[in-house]
Amino acid sequence: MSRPRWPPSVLLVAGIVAAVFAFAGGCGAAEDPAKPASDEPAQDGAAPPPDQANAAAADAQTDKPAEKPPEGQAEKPWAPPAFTERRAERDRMVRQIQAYGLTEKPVLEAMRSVPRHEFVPEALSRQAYDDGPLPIGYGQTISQPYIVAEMTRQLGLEAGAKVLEIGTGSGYQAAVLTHFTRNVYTMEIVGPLAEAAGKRLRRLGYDVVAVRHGDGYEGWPEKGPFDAIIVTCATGQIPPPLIKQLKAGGRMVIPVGGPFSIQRLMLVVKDEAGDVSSRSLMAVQFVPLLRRDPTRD
Amino acid sequence: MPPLRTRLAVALVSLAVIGTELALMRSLSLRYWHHFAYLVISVALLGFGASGTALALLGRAMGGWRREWLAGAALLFALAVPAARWLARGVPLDVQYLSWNLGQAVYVGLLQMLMFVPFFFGGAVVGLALTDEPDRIGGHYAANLVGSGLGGVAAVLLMHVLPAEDLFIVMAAVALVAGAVAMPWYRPGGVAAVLLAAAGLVHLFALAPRDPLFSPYKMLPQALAMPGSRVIHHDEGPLGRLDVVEGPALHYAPGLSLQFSDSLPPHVLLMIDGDAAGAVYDCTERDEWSFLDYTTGASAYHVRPMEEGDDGPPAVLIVGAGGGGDIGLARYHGAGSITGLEQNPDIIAAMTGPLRDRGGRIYEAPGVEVRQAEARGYLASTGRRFRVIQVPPVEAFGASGAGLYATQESYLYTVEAMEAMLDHMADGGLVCLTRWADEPPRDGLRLFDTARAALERRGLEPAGRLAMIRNWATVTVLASAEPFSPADTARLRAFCGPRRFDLCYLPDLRPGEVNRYHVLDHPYFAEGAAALLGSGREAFLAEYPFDVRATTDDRPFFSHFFRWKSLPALADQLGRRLRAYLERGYLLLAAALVQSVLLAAVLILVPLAPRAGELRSAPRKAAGLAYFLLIGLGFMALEMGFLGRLMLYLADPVYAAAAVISSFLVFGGIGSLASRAWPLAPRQVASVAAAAVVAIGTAYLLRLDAWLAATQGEAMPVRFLVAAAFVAPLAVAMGHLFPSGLRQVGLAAPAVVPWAWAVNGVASVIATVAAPLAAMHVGFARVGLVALGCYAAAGVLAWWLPERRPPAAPDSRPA
Repeated sequence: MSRPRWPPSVLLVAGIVAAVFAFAGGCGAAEDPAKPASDEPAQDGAAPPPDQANAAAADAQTDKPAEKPPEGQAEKPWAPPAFTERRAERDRMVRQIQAYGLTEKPVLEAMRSVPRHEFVPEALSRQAYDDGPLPIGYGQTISQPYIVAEMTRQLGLEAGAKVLEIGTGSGYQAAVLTHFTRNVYTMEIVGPLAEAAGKRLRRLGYDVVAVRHGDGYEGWPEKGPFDAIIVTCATGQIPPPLIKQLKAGGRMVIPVGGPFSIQRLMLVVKDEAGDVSSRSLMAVQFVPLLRRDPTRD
Repeated sequence: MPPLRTRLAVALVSLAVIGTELALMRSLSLRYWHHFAYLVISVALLGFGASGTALALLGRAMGGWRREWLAGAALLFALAVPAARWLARGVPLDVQYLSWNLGQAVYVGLLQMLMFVPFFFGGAVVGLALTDEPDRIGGHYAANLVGSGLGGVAAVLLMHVLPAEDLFIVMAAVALVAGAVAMPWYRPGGVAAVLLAAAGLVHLFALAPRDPLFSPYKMLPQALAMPGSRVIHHDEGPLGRLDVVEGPALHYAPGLSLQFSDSLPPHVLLMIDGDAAGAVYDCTERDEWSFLDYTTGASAYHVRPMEEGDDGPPAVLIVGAGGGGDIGLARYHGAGSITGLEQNPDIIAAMTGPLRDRGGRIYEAPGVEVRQAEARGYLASTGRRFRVIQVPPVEAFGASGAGLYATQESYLYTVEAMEAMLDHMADGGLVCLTRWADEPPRDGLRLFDTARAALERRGLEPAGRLAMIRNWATVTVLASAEPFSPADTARLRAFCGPRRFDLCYLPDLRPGEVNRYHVLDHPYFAEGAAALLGSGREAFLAEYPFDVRATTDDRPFFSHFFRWKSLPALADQLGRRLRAYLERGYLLLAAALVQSVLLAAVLILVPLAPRAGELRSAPRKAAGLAYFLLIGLGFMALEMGFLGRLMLYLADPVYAAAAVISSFLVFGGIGSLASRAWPLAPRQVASVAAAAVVAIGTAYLLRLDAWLAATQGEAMPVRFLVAAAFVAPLAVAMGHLFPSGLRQVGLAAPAVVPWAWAVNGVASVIATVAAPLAAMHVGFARVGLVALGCYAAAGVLAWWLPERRPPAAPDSRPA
C-alpha cells in the first residue's frame, strides 16, 4: 500500500504554524482608533519615561495654579457656565444617579449642568453619560457619575466654602464643585493630566478652579485650611497632611481600600477642638475598566 | 520505533505537562491572585480526557502513521504552550468584574479553552504511546510516571532560578525535544517539521513580552503609574515574585490613627506577586519607629508593657517579618528578644542584601533573629515561650473584603493555629492578631470567634481573656491565657482613647464606650462580640448575613464569608451595592465548576455520541460506567483533599501542588503497573484495592495531621519527601482500580471501554473543581469521607462489572 509523501502530523504542524503566523501579523497590524481631544495630554497616554516623570515630580512645587483672584481681594460674582449640548443624555444620567437613592436637588442639578462629554477622551465621548467610569490615560479614570454625585453630596458644601480636591484627573469633579463654591483647588500628580485639565477647565469657563501639579498626599498647605477636602483616588491610608489642612468643623470624603474595585467611602470630620473622627459611608464598587484604554499604545 | 525513543519522548512530554501546569499556576497567580490553581489541574485533566476520546474516535483512521502522529502531537504541544500564553494575555478577563457582570464567565471559559489546548496535545502523546504498542505498555507507562514525577520537582527547582514566564519557554522546549526524539527521521519532511516547529516556537514567544501580566487592580501597576516610581529590586522564586518599588509619590502606612500628624520615615514598598506586602522604613533610631505606635497592633505592648521577667528579657514572636516594621515596633517597646518569621527567602535575601541599609538593618539589630519559616511549622518545632505573638495582616489592604482570598486556605487563622500560639505564651503573654477591618464586620468577628474557640478548647473561659479594638482600617483581637486584670483593661483604654481607636470588646466594657470614633451605622463589632460569647452564639451565627464562624484546619477558608441563603436579603437591602459584597474568588470557582461540567461534556462525552449504539448492547454497562464515574470522582476528590491539607504542611500552594500532583501520578502509576501482577481476576483486584483505599484513607482522616505534625518543623526538602511518602500507599492502592476495571470491561464488553475512559475523565474534571468548593462549605474531612464512599461503592460495583468472555480480547485500551 502506498503512503502519502507527507505524514499528516507534519501537514498539521505546518498548517497550524502558518495560521498562527498569519494571525499574529493580523493582530499586530491593528490600529488604535482613539484620538486625543484637543486639550488632552499630547502624549498617547503612555506613562511618562522615568526621567520625565522625575522631572515632573520635581517641578511639582513650582507649578503655578491657574488664574485665581488673590486671597482677600473682592471676588467677582461667580456663575458656572451653562451648556445645552447633550442635555437629554445628562438628564438620563441624573435618573441613573437617582436610582441609587441620591435625591439632593443641588447635587443633581450640578450633575445635570456639567458637560461630562467634554471631560472624556474623544474616542469615548459616546459613553460619557453611561453608568460607569472611563479611562482618561495614565492609568487614571473619570469616576462613575453616581460616585461623583455621592462624594459631592457628602461634602455638604456651602457657598464660599474652600474646597481642595486631590486627584484632578480630567477636571470633571472640580467642575461639579464649582456649582457650589468658586473656591475650588485641585491637585493632580500626573503632570500632563494636570496641564490638560487646567486648559480644559479654562476653555469651558470653569476658570475659578486652581489646578496644581503635585503630590496630593502633601496637600496644598499654602491655600489651606480647607472647609472640605475630597480625595477622588482610592488610598490605603488617610494622609496626615490633609487632616492638618482641614479646618475645624471641616469634612473630608475619601475612598479607602486597596487598589481593588471595592472601596469604602469614608467621611472624616474634624471637630472644633481639632479632634478627628470618621464615619463609614458606604461600600462602593468602582466599575472596573474592561475596555482598552484608548489613550494607550 | 525503538522503545527507548518512545519512552524518552513520553517522559519529556509528561515532564513538560506537569511543568506547564505549575507555570500556569504561578503565571495566573501573578495576574489574578491564586484563584486558578484548581482550575489549571481541572483543565489539564480535561485535555487528557478529550485526547482519550479523540484517540478512541480517530485511532483507526491513523493507520500506520501513529508514530508520526505522536511526534506531531508533541510538536503541537510545544507550539500550543506559547500560543496559548500569548492569546491568554489578550483575554480581557477581570476577576474583579465577575460580580458586576457574570458575562465575564465567558472569558473564564475562553481562558479554560486556551489552557486546554496544550494539555490536549500532551495527553495525545501519552495516549498514542500507550495504545500504539500494547506489549510495551508497561515501559511506556513507567516513562510517563517518571516524567510526571520529575516535572513537579523540576518545575519547583527551576522556579528558584527562572521567572514563571520563562518556565513556559523551558517546557515548550522540552516538548519540542520530545517531538524531535519521536519523529521518524527517515520520513521526508521530518526534519522540516521539527525545524518549522522550532521556528514557530521562537516566533510565538517573541510575540508576547516575557514580563508577567498584572491585574490593573494590583498594587504594583498602580504604584508604577505614579510619576517617578521605579522598581529598585526584583527577585522571583516558587513563593512569589518580589518587587521593591520606590517613588516620591508612594506613601505607605495603612491603618495609622487619624490622630497621627507627623511625617512618615522615608520608605520603599515591598510587593509580592504585585500586591503590597509591606514597606521598608528607613528608621535608624529606635524612636523613629514611634509612628507604628499609632496602629491597633501596638496595643499588645501597652496592655502588658515589656518588663524583664524571671526568664530574662521579654521575647516577642513576629509572624511575617516582611519589611521589619513590626520588629521595629517591638524594639520601640523594649522587647529584648525578637524572633521574626519570614516564609519568603527572597524577602530575607533582600532585607539582608540590597535593602540592608534602607531598612535600618532591622534584621540584624541586637536581639533580633529572623528565621525562614512559617508560623505553624515553627511553633510545632520550638519550645520557646513569648510575651507577645504578633500576627499582623498578611494580605494587601482591602483584599479580604474584596473576596480575593475567599478560596485560599489560610492555616494561620484557624482554631488549631491559635491553640498553638496560646501554648507558647510566657506568663502574662498575649496573642495579638490584626486584620483589615471590613464592613459589615467579617474578618474581625471571625478572628474573635476563632480565638474564643481556641481558648475554650484549651479549657480557658474566653470572656475574661479576650479583647477587641478597631480603627477605620484594622481590627485587633488580643487573647491571653490569663484573664485581663482591671489594670490591663485600664491600660488598653488609655492606649485607645488618645488614638481614637474604638473598643469592641473588653471583659469590663461599659455601655457608651463603643462606636465612638470611627462611627458605623450600628455597633456591629461590639454586638457581634457579645453575641459570640453569650448563650445566643448559635442563633447569632445562623442569622448573621455572613458566615463568621471560627475556621479550623478542616475548613481553613478564613476569607470565605459568603452565604447563598443571605443573598435575597442582602439583595433586598443593598440593591445595586450588593456587588461590593460578593466574593470574587468564590464566584470564579463556582463559575468554573459550571463551565467544567459543560466543557467536559462537550469535549469528552459528546464526541462519542456516534458510538452510543455499541454501548446500548453492551452487558452490565450501567455498573461499568458507574464504577468509572465513582473512581474518577473519588480519585480527584482525595487528591484535592490532600492538596488542601498539604498546604498546611508544606506552607505553600505551589510546593503542595508539585508534591501532590507528582506523587499521585507516580504512585498511582506504580499502582496501575502493579495491578497486573496479582494472581487474581481484575475485578477481585479492584475490590481489594478499593478496600485498601478505604482503610488507608480512613486512617489518614483520623491521624494524618498528627503524623505530619511530627515533622512540621523540618526543612522543605524533608517535608516534601515526607508528603510524598504519605501519598504513596494511598495512591498505589488507588492506582489499581482504573486499569483493573478497564481490563475487566475490555475483556468482557469492549464497547464500554471508550465510554469508561470518557466518564472517568468527566468525573475527574468536575471533582477537581467541586472538591475544593465543597470543602469550603463542609470541610476537607467530609469531602474525604465522600471520596472514600465513592471507593467503597466502586469496590462493591467491581463485582458487577461485565463477566469475562472467552476468548480474551486484546489489550484494554480504546482502539
